Amino acid sequence: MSAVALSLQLAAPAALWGLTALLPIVLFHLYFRRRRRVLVPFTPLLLESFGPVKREARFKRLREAASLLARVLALLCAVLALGGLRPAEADAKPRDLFVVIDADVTTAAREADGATRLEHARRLARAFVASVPERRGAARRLDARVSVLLAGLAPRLLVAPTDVRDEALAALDTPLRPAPAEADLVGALALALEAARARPRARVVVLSARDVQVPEVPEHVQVEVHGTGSARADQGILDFALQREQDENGYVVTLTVVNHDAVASTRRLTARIDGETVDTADRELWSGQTEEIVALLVPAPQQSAWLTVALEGDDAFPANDVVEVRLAPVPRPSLLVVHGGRVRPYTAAIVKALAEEGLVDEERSGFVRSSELARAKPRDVILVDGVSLPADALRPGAYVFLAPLGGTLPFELGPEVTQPLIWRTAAGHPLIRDLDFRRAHVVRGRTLSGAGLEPLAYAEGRPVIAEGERAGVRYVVLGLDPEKSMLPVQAALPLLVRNAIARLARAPLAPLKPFYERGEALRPEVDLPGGPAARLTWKGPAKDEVLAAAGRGAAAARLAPEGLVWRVPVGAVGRAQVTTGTGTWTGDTAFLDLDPDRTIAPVRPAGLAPAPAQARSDPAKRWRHGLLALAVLFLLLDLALLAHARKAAYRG
Amino acid sequence: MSDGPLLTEAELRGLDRLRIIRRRPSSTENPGDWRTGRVGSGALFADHRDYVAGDDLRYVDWNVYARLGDLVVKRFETEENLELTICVDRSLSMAGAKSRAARRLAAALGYIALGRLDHVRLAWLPTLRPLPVSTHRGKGRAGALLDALASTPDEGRTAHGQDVARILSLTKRRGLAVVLSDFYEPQNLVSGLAGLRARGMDVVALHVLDTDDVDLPLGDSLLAIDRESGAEVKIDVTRAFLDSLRATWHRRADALERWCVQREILYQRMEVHTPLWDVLAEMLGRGITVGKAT
Repeated sequence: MSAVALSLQLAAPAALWGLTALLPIVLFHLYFRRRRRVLVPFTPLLLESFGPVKREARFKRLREAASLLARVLALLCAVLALGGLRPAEADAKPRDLFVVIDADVTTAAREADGATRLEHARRLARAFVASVPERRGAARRLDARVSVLLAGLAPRLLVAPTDVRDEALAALDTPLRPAPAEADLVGALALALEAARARPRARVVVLSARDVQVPEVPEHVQVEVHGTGSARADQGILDFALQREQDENGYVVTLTVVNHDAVASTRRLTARIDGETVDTADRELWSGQTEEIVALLVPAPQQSAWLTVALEGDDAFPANDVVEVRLAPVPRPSLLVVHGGRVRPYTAAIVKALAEEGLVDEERSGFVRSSELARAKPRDVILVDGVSLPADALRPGAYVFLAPLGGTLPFELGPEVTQPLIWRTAAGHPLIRDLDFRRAHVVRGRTLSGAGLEPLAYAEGRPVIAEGERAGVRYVVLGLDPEKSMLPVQAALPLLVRNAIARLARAPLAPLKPFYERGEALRPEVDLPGGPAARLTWKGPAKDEVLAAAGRGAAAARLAPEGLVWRVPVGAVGRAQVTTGTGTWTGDTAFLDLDPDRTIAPVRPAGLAPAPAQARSDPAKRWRHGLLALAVLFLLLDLALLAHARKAAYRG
Repeated sequence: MSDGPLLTEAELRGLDRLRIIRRRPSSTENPGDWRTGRVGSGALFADHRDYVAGDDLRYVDWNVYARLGDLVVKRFETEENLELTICVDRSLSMAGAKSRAARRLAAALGYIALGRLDHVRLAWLPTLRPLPVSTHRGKGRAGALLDALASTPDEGRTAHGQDVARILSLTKRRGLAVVLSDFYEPQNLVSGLAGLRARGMDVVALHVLDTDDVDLPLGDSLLAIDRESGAEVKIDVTRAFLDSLRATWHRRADALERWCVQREILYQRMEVHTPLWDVLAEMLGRGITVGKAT
């Protein structure tokens, strides 16, 4: 709060001559405080009597000084009262009032009485408006103009400048809603100051618990900042990360949690998928400490679902207790098995097992002869099981080749291996991780080569298992023939096929990430019709505010070379559904607004509501009466001191 | 000194009827009409005692022998003149009511003694120079005595020990010594009395007391200045201090009285506002110093 200098003036400066009465008062005091000289017959008698009593009375000098001070102050007050002392502004017109209410997301914090901090700010603003005196002779008309700005995501004029009391108060009777993200208090204050500078005398009152940097203002503008709350009992989530487990079957949730409260608190972390609790953990959060917690494991849902991670229980600021993200489903690609006239038993068994595990969409999967591949419906992954493909059958897509015999291939076949024992692998590669080929007896095999081919396992020093990509064909190839070998009955082949299908089929099933943070670029991996004019819209629980903040119903998206790019704006918080302008594609995601610097801890105590305006009285008269009352008070104090001195003398 | 004559005519007429009695017989050879109370060769019959061998036969009471057959001898009181030494404190601590009261009583005692043709010696404490003691005898000297008591100023510091020693060095006589003083002696308040007693004199200590000495204005801050020494003491007069001062004052008088009693010195307090006749009546009540003239 800025200091307000009080300038005073005297109506009759000649009354200051009355201060000359100070001289006799001081002389009187000095005369009576001196020690009177008396002749006594025998001073040893006095000295002998001092034994059990004090030579000088207690606090006598202090009482005398206080008495003199009281007399001087009484005279001073009386002189100033006669001189007509009063504030220089006593007769001045009240200042025009500009109230700025901070509606930051932190004003959703609840104070001890249960009301939000924004509600407190609204009441304070109402009290400030009510404190403006009415114009003499004009009922319900204020003697100054008042206006109220709401600092939300963007500044908003809540009460336009007016001198009609009821109009201003009625506008402040409507409950206010905190912004979903950080409010633009600086912008709102700048607007208020700009308007205040244009007035002859103005008063800008900022109602905020946050740190406010007040710029330089001219002398005729008075700026005050009042707090709006004192609650700080808050624990919140500062950061959120989601990682898929290596086996693709679940997610690891990592949270950064802070305790803003002055005392430690134990909170329960809960993860829910579509409302069903999947994991919990109790954590003690120390006062003022920020802690990274890797504690929650959630399974990957079969279908797309909302994951909610929450700090259970109540605190003053629930807005930072919940994070909600969209989990992508487990990839369930469709599979087309290409055979030479009959499906080999082990291949059929593997496909059935994958379908039963939910790793393959059985309904959309199927079997086809190699000669009919060109006419078959497109599938996510094509498994070529020991047959040669016709020349026109190889289209861009994902392929798994088992024991390729020749024909059209995206790689080259090398010579047959005479001793098809695998003696070296790229053990860390996700495709063959946890696979053991050492005990598998293989009858025959072909080595592999070609541009873009990455070897994964070797026999006789040449690749026999590899992955690669050529001309839009992404593939995994197993050069070993599982027929008549021990390979199918070992665990290696089913796992290899499962890994290969999952690896090739992942994209583009999850075009949107689980969540996007404010300002982050959103690049959906979808084909957008409509060319450069494509637009992106979203809807969510805070749709109204988001649209209002954006200023239009949709945000223009930029069609960049890498695709559609859209930056998450301020306020786009919560669940969101992203739709292209033509409505041909829709996806769910979440927009998070996690600000590590956000806290509800106030930087100043809560402000006190000013008293309502009273009927304007003559300020000079009030000051005169007040000063005279003070003079009497000081005289009474002097009398009390004298009485006390006398009593003390008798008491000893 | 002023404030009129020390004794009025009426007081002097009243004093004419009084006489002074010594508590103990004098050993001086100064016969007079002063009844000493000592049985000897005086003219005043005292009583009888049994005759023992060697008694002067002139004193055998033959009438008793004739009536009763007992051989007894008559005894007579010795009569001698009184040697009265009046020591009056004239130090500055006595200035005021105490000094006047002391001088009035001294004048009364001196006037009574002169009326009986006794020797009256007036000594001042502190002593006057060059004559520390003035001797008076006969009623005709009463005027001179009263003038001396009225005109001698109060001055000097109390030093009774030194002053008494100086007085005693000028006389070999003993007799009765009356000391009138407030006994505000810084070093040893009984030094004067002890000197007189050591000479074998019959000593009367009249302690002149004035309550104004301990009646300081309550609540005042004072710079108390000693009249004799000029020493200064800062005090805030509180109730507790006044109580302590009065207690000290009484304790000091009590101590002096105890000391006198132990040494067979008559001690009497004399408040300055007490009428002269009441003081003399109290002395009469003690039956030792002042009695009715016979």
